[in-house]
Amino acid sequence: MNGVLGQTGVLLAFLGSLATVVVLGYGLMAHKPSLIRHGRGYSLVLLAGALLATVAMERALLTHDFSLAYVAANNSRETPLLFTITGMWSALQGSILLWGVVLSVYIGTLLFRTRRRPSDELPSWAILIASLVAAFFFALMLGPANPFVHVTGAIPADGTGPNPLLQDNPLVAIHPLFLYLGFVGFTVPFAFALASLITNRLDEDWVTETRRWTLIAWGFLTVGIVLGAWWSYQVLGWGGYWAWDPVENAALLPWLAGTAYLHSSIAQQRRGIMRIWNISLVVSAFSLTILGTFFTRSGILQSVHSFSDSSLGPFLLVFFFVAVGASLALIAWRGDGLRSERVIVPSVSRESAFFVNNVLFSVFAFVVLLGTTFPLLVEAVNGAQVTVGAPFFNSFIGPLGIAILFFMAVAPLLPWQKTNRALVQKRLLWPAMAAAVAVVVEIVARVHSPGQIFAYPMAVFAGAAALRQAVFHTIYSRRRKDGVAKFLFSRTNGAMLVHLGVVLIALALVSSAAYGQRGSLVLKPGQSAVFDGHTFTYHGVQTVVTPAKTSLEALISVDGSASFAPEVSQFGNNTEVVGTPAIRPGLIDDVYLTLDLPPKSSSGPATFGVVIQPLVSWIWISGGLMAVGTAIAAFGTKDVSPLESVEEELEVRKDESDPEVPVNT
Amino acid sequence: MLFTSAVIVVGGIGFALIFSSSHVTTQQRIANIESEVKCPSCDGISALDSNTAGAFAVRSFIEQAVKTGRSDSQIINSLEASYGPTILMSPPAAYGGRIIAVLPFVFVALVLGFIGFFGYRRRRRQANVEGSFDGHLPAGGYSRRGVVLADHGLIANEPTQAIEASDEPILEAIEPLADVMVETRRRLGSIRQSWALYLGILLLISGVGYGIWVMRGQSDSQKQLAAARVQAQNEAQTILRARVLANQGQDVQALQLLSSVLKVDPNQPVALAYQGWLLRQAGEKDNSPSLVGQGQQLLEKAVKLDPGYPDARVFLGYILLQDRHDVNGAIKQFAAFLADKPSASFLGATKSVIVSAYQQAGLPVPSQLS
Amino acid sequence: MSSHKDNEVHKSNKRSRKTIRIIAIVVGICLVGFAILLATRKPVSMQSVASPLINRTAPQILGTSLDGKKVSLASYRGQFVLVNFFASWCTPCQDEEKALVQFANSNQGVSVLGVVFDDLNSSAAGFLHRYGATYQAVSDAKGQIALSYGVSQPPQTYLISPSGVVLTEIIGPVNLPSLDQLITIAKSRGL
Repeated sequence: MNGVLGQTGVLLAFLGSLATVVVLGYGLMAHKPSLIRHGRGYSLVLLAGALLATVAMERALLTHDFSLAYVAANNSRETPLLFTITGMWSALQGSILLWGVVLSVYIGTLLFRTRRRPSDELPSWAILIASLVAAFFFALMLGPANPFVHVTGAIPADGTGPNPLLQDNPLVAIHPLFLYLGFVGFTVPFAFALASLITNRLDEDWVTETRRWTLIAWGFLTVGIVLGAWWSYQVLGWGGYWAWDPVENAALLPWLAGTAYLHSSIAQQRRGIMRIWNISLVVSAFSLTILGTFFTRSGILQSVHSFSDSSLGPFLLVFFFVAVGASLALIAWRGDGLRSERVIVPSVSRESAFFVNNVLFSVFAFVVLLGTTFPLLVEAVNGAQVTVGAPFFNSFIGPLGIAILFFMAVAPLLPWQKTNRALVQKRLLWPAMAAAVAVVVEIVARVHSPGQIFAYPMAVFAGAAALRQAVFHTIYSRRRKDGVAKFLFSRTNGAMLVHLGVVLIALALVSSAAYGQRGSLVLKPGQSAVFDGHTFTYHGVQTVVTPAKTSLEALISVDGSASFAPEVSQFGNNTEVVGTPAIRPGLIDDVYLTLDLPPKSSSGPATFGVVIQPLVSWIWISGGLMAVGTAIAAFGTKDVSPLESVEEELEVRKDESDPEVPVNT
Repeated sequence: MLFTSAVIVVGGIGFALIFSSSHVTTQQRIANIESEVKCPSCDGISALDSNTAGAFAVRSFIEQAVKTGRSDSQIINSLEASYGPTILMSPPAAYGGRIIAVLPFVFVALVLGFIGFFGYRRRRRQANVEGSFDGHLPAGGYSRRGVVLADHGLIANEPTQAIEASDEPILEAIEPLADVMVETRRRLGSIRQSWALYLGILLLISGVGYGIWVMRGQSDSQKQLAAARVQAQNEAQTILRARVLANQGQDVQALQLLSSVLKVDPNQPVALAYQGWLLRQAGEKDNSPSLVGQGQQLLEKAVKLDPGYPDARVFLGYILLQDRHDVNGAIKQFAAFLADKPSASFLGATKSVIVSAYQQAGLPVPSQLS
Repeated sequence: MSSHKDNEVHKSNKRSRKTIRIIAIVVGICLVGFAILLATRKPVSMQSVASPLINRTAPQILGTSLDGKKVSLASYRGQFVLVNFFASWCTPCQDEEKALVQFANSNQGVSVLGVVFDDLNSSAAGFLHRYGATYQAVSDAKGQIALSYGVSQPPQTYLISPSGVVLTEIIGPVNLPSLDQLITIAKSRGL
């Protein structure tokens, strides 16, 4: 029943997307409004089919319908409700279904938002292209990644349950969801970019139209990446949160392209520059999501996340190739029209800063892509297996990150187009003073490593710059007698909140890398030990049996507080033993405990791994800040145009005749 | 105020960098090596960051090796010898380690070259377009064109007033680069347009050239490595043969064999030690102090590379005692030699000289020798 | 005036279009190369890279056996040795143990030497006892033997020639037929 329902849904969605492509395509080519309207309607069939398939899958999971091979492999009667629901994306076929349904919902929303202008060909072409992408994914579900395959042989009484690593933490439930919402979200700007090329409407329309879409996708992806880091921190038991794993990199790459685009697209909106660049960035962001999925699913890269090496690899690769190839061809075809009338003057202006920041992000992305794929290159050349890990990435990303922080501080302070020295000096004053204070503090505190010496002042500089802009905007609004709330939730303030989040993450990353401590403690019950200023007392072990797992918990208290219980567990029928760390989170530092060697007997000594991670909680908090900031940037009140604000600010300055601004230096 | 803050930031960072301690403690050194080695059972997590059994084994191995005085590269090489290059967190030079370190720079060079080249072409073309219709404009059009050109950053063939008016803010800009560029353009006259072109071409060529150089260096080092690998298999046998030849009095052949080893691996302590010893003996035979000196240098190098290698210690001790008459220096070497618990036969062969050294120094003869 | 300008603009556009096409072609070529690279890669799980120890002298094994005797790999000179890294907690070790015991008892002139990998000596001894294994097993408390052999994950097995050279590395569980074959080949080559 569930199988039939699901299969019908998939087929319906596939046919719906195909019909959209064919009818809409014909209508758009022939410029027949009635056909266009008709074709757009078919994407509702796509949406309905996708929803039907999703409902069928969830229903099968909830009712433990083990007649479906997917359910039998990823669910068991003991699996808790939450993980039963999230079972939909805990393996390949279900993930593809999630991809399909998210894309269908995006297409549906796009359809709804553009319903009043069906004769506008730009969004209609975008719907066509997005439907083409959807057709690909639903075709996968009809063929090699069918989530509704019947089990061979007799229906098992119970399923095997999800991978133990995937059923220990609620974060695993939402983290892939956000990642997919982000990944799939980049389809919309991509579709619009291609639509603008096809319709030869190469002006700023498509950028304006997709600004909010891109922000939403980017925000989801940001949250997804941060949640993923948080999950791996809480589950994997090594006390870290980012290992430059190919799958982590696969999510980071489109994020980098998206971040670059979010900035350069403002330059195009305001000044009509960087047009080819913007289209290239959007194409990159989209194709990198496909490439990332290929990395995850083909199993060609050594990764903690390679849960499956499936037969999907070739399909995804061909799709990646076609998507990039087609975009390249379109860009080449429309090349002359993409030239903007203006060029970027090498001057101290916002567009120059954006330009430099974009170059930095491209280098960043190149380094990540290079590090991720380099083992493949070596393998192809001489058959050897090599690892490209943290040392390589850190040595490049460290300096790049510091440079990005610098331009992140300066860019929002610079006016567009022309240098206004007095204004820039005024805006730079507070951030520069904050940076100076940071430098003095770090000299007093004897900060050692060159990386930190640069990173801390730059982070403070960028943070102060973002704060200054936000405060200025809000105070300025009061002068103008507009509501404070209106300006508090202005789009600029949203962006500055995101910047603050990035700064906090940078601070946390640098601090946890520099001041993190790890060690191991061997304790008998009742014994205490001190490590890095924290006192640990081991109380003994207890065995906890739940339907899903059997765990051996070691009770250990930190600084006399309540007990924490790092454990080793065995899940259901799995013989594999999985360790689960216990974490005492804190705003200053986290105490991270693992049970490395369980005691032989209840009175024997146990070996604990201890990691002290300073400020690491701020990464997750900042993830939240960035999400809120992105939401404000996407849905907040519109800002007064910057040119006006510059002029008005100058007037304000004249009125106050600020004595602190030196006339010459 | 702004200026003061900027000075504090730049000066403070400079100060902190200069006074940041470059001294590396043993603990830091161990942690450094650990972060370069992958935990054997993990994907992409270093032995430093992991708590698995394999990581513990790697850590205790590294600690032990550092204690016995082995160099970082020796430690890393010995792990690579049993696991292959996957055990390292970054690819070693023979497996593209240099290429991957250089490619980001090549990419930056290409991007900058590309921007410089096309930016220049674009502006020159626009200058031509503007310039060409300039002639057809009435004089009153200047002001309008001045604005347009300021927008484009074009200076070519312009009346001076227009440039100065539009460029004034740029000239005063705090970023020195912009100043320099505007200044250069103004001073260099006709060359001013070409700077971007030259810079672009230069960067492109240097990027490509660097790439080729690295590729070539790579293939060379790969060849060397292949040779070294073959050699390493035979190295021990070669050294053994050399020692046998030396015992038979065929010093020249022995020296040749050892040099062939040292050519491939100049830091092979065994070969260094025996080469040094043979040179010393040849020098003594021919009464050539320079040969003896060369031999001593090689032996000192061998001792430095592998402080725990007893043969090098005892040879160096011989030279210090018999050629340099430095009894105390010799005693130091002999003490190190004895501390390594050499085999009985070796001890027997060297016993008399060592005992005489201790007697000359007036020190009690170690119990091992009596 | 305007025709002259248009002409220039037209020329300039034509040239810029050419530039963009050239760039697109270059990027396209890179894309093809990249896709070919990716398409020709095999999944990691299907790749195997030969251990660098093969055809080299086997690293020495010096230690105490589970029953307290001194064990040295050097004392096995003159016969084939199968060095097997194992642990009681590892599932594939349980799968292969039966075959390994059978092989050790089949008297083909091959000695089996177990090395305990990250396990308590008592558990390891219990594990061997359970399968009736009578061969020697060395305790490797600090994992240094495993490290010198490049072991990442048990079970891992090495065949060592009578002259003390590593002939083969087997990653994962062994089975009887392939072990027999291996020994036959090794003997026929006169190793």
